[in-house]
Amino acid sequence: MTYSLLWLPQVLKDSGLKVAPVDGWQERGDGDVHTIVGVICHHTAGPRSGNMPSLETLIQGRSDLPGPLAQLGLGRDGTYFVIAAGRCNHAGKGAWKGVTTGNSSFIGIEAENTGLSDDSPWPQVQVDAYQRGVAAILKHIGQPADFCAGHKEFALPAGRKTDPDFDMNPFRSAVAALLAGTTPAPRLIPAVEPPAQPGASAGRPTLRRSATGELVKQVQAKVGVVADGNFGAKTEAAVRAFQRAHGLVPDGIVGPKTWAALDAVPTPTPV
Amino acid sequence: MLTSTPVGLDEITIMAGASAAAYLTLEMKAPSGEAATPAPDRDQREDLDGCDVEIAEATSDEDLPASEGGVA
Repeated sequence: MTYSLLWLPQVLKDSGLKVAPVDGWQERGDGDVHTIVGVICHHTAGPRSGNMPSLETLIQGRSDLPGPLAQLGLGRDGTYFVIAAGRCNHAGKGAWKGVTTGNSSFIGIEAENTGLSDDSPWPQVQVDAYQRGVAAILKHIGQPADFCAGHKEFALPAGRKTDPDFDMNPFRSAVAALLAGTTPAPRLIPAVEPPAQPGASAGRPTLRRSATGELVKQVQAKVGVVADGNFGAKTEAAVRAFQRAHGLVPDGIVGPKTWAALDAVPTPTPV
Repeated sequence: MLTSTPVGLDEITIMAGASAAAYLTLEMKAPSGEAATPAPDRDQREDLDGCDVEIAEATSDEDLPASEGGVA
């Protein structure tokens, strides 16, 4: 049985966001939702390393608390992981705009962050995706920015929750600007490298998971995985590690900036 | 049309003119054998809050699903 929020991935993709559906998301939920009136923003308080280390827990829950624990996980690289199309146990007791049925009436977004000083400031790519994703959802359901609440604002009794660890008022202002269309469009990763000079042909294509061929072998040789020409999960993880080491957005996608960084690294000599 | 909500069951509708025996049969079947645990009602489920739970096993980058979108 599929649940109601089947529109989530497309709405996010249409806003220029990276989206990773988790297998089975359409049938996942603790029952179905009611009419969705807004979004509740969370942070995971999960581990410091990795892009979305809390994902499996968000899907499965824990022994005394059934999952899913949020419809969406937001990775440190700004990718939305679509976990569930149904109701999720993310909100608990609380109220916002007179609505007390948080789990049934609000979409929960769990953004990966420890909530500690070691994880602040948040990556700009993640903050930008957070605001754009919330705006896309609110636009889809026809609600204004003030129907986006922080969990710390929704939860009762007051003080029961502290997430997310950023100020929700400027966040809502940014969401309102997106809804009003006064924010520039997102900067997408170009599909190919720009020409080296005017009139020259375009350069190498952007590569990501499922790409194949000689260029993938070149990438694999640079990041230290077996150069079989298949861009799978291991290659993606190695690209993320390379990007982290070079101050790039660690999304595992080889676009123009990552190509340039790879070019600056000598290909290891096979032993 | 009459409506009623027995413990552990969602709303049941009895059409006007139908025998109440059908309703009674449903109510008697539920607790057979071992004491049945009533399903949590809507209000109890609203109180569940899985935010900020302990992460038993971290998901590695290699185990993340593939992404789409974000490329022009």
